[in-house]
Amino acid sequence: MCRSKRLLPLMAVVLMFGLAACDAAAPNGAPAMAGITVTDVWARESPPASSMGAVYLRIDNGGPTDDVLVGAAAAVASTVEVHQTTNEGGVMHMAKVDTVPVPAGGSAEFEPGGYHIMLIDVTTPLKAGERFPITLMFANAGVITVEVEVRAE
Amino acid sequence: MSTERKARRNAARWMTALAFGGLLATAACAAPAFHGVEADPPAAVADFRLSDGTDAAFRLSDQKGKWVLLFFGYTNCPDVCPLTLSHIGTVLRDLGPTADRVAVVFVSVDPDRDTPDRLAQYAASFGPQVIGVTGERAEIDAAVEAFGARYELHTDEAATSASGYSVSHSGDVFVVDPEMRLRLTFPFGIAPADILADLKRLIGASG
Repeated sequence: MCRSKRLLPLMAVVLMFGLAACDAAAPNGAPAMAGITVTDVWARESPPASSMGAVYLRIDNGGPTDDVLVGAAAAVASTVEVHQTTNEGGVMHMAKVDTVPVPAGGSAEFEPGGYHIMLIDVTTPLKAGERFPITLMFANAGVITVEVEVRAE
Repeated sequence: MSTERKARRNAARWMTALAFGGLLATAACAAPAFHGVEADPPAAVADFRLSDGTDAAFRLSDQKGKWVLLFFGYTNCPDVCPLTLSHIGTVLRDLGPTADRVAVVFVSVDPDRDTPDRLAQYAASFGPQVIGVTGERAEIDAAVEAFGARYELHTDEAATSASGYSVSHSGDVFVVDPEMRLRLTFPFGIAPADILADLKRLIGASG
């Protein structure tokens, strides 16, 4: 079987389209803005009689500029703040933080026991299987809206 | 050296080697440590009284005969407490029928916001064996002291966060046996699989 001379350029074009498609959208449907991608965005389902919630996610900064998460907003709660849990000799502390750095080439992990986006006074209890939008504000990348998946765990 | 002396020397060497080997084997066969921190010897836990949302008072001694997993927190806790309860839920499911011998007690150190009623609802959502209790400040402090735990209400923060004041608290889960003795303490962050392995060993050993 002989190789056609046209096959190589065709493959190049297909490859370019493929790469462009990969670049276009990060998981959770968020556009990759200034190198920031936000993945694995989830929240626990609301226990009854609790009006607080927490959103967890991972932010990767594949771009050349350091960035900083400066805030978040969501319609599901009256107020949204970024908090950090710390373990100080077996005693768990939680404090509001104003910013979370996401250095160039680095990432910021929001996971149970660490950073979390706190939902304060959730208007309707979150149920497993539901999804809701949350907007993240970055110093450099600007505003990114992603979808939160509510899980039963 | 005479043949007889050589023989005795060799025999001595063999016996030393065997004894040493025996010691090593015994050390290797010794039971591996628990993942949690073991109370050795088991430490008696002072009884304490709190409220579980019903008319009757809750006493830790009411749970005698059961294995109790107990930890401190508050329902406005968005991160640590739901995670701990989630892990405990996973462990209880994986314990299967043995879970019938386990009670889970969640003690709220924040009675100003956590009424017994609110606690009861919160706790029940994590499983039928989960009891939520709280009480007067002195009663809570007695329970906290019974386990050497700590907590603090950061009321100075109320102005900085819309969530009001936060409460720092011990992240440990305490394991109390059917005779009301502390046996194990699981530090925050320990994997559910490790908790499960330890409990199977502890509860299994008790027959």
